[in-house]
Amino acid sequence: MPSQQAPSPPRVLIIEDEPLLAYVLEEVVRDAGFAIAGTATRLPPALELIAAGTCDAAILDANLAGVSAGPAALALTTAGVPFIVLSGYAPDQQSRAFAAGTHLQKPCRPERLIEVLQGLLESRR
Amino acid sequence: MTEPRVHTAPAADHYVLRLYITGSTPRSIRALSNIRRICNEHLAGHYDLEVIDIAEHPTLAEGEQIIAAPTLIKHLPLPLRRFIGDMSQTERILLGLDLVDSTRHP
Amino acid sequence: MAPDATIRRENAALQMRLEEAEETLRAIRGGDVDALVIEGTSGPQVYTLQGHDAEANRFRGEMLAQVSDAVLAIDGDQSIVYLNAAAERLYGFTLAQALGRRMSDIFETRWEMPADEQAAIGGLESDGEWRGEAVHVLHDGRMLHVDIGVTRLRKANGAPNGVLAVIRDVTERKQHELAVLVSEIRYRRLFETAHDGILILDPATRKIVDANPFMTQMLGYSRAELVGRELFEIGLLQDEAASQEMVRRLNLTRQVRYDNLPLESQSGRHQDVEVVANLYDENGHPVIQCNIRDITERRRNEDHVKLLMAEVNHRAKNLLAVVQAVADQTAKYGDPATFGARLSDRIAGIAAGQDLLVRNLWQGVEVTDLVRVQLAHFHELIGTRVHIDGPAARLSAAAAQGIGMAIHELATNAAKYGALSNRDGQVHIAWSLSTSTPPQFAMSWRETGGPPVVLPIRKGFGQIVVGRMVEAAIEGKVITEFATSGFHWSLTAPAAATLASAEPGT
Repeated sequence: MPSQQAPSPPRVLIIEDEPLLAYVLEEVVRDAGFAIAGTATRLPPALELIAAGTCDAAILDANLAGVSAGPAALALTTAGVPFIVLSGYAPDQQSRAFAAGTHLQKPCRPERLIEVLQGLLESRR
Repeated sequence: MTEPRVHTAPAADHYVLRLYITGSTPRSIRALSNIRRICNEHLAGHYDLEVIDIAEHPTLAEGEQIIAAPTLIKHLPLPLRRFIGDMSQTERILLGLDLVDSTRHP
Repeated sequence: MAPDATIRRENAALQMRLEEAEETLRAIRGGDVDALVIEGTSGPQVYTLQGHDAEANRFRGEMLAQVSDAVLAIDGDQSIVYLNAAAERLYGFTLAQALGRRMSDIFETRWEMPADEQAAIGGLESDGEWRGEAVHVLHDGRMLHVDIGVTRLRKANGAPNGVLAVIRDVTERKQHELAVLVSEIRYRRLFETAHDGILILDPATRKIVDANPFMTQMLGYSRAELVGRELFEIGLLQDEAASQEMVRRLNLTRQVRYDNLPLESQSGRHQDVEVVANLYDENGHPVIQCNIRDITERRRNEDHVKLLMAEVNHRAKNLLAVVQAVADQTAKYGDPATFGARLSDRIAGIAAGQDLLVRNLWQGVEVTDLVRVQLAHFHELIGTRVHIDGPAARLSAAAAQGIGMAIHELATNAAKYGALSNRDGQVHIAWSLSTSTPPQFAMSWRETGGPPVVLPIRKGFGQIVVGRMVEAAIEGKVITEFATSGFHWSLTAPAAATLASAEPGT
């Protein structure tokens, strides 16, 4: 990535199976000045969005309607995209696929979420 | 004039006897054994035998002026009679208790 | 002058008294008495006369008085000639009462076996002694178990002179023995019928000495195949070292517990077992008892519960996140003064929807139930001012949440400003499933007869709830209309995104 500030805001991918939460995450991320790269509520569309390569960071729910989001985590890791793992499960219950992500527990305060997101994007520059 | 006493055994009178012994000393044991035998054989159903151990209760010797043990006292029927020793001379005892089947000549 | 008869009678009496006095003196001199009574200062004193064997007698008497066993002697006529203090206590008769009486007056002898009586009599005849057990029935009816030793007494010339009996009350011991026997029988029964495996081991050799039927079933080995083997040989412990370790620990702490050991039966069936081993003392010998319980089922249940708990935790966290989001957005969009009330209200709506989901085990919620629950405040108006109409249709969890919140919001607004804020207004709620390809779900909320409709001034969170949020939940489209006839809200969405699928968990 070039070291100057990009003219358009960073694009954040939201992968969350609870529609209401997905909506709220969008609002929170937009309010903080970021753009939404896309929203997916299931694994297959999530993988497609990641493959499109149009996001700078991602917020990933560890469990998508009973299916582990591990493959998405691995895809993000391979693509070099920093991501937050947002989960209702205890950290020790999660597989090693999510090792590269930054773990946050649900429910998470919006301020904390944005703080971590900014940190991830900054370290990337 | 004293009536000659004639008895037909067993006597119809009720006998009250008291035997004074000193625990399980030899003669006391024998006296008791002998007296019981005599009572069973000649007075069955007509007697009360009280056995008093003056080794245990010395004061009981006082009332009847007991001076040696074993001593047998016949209280009833009258007259009062006293016997001393191990009571092994059965004939003499029977005589003394008026249990002999013969008349006595005064 | 006294009559003749009186004098004669008095003479006879005097004669008798004289004779008696002479007798007394003769008896005393002749050694025919045991004791003399002398009047002392404090009352009569009894002096026992000592014969040449009096010393021996006294010693024997004192000794026998202290012996705890009952001692009893009878003469040739079967009359009691002696009993010691212990015998007095045992049979409840004093010496004075018992002397001269027959033994059968004091107690009745009963025999456990008829042969015993023969043995006793025979033994006394041939050997001069006998030792054995019998039952003595006391004068008050009590029964004593006794251990008796009888010896024939002889005079100096060898002629039989009665019998000496030494009697020990063993009633308590017998009761104890019986209790032990009963206890053993009971234990044996438990051992045979227990629904856990039981193994008995010899601590010295670590080998199995006994196994109960359930254990043979658990392992598929017969009892004979198990006896003589060590635990590691039958697959219960890993190896000889583990066996040794168990015994070592048992010797220290007397109980060892293994919460979860793998066990393979001979047929290869795998079980999880819990083993509790105890080191006991059985009649002076140490013995190890292992209780083995199959906990495979229990573990499976525990694992299943753990899985469910994790699921519940996940859903709960999700729900909390939703509530937090609603709180944040309510705060962002509304009037601070009414924030608390509005938030409470919305959370109540979410909770009601959640209840329905749980009741249906996350299998989906009927539209009717959802609408009724979210209109709980107005339930008495249903049928008169509120009309609900639509086919049976089972909503997915996501759809139920989104639509439920929308209905709740619509009802709150209707009560504040719309058709439910006056006395006559009506609300019509309807939904349908189309047969088009792909199938569509449609729902509408129509108000009539309310106060004049007023457009909302600014965008509130409520509008987002009935609009964008429910759209996002079911990939649908919402149209809101503030017509003069009344407020109208309608929703269309693909049935696939709205309805609960056949599989649970969506």
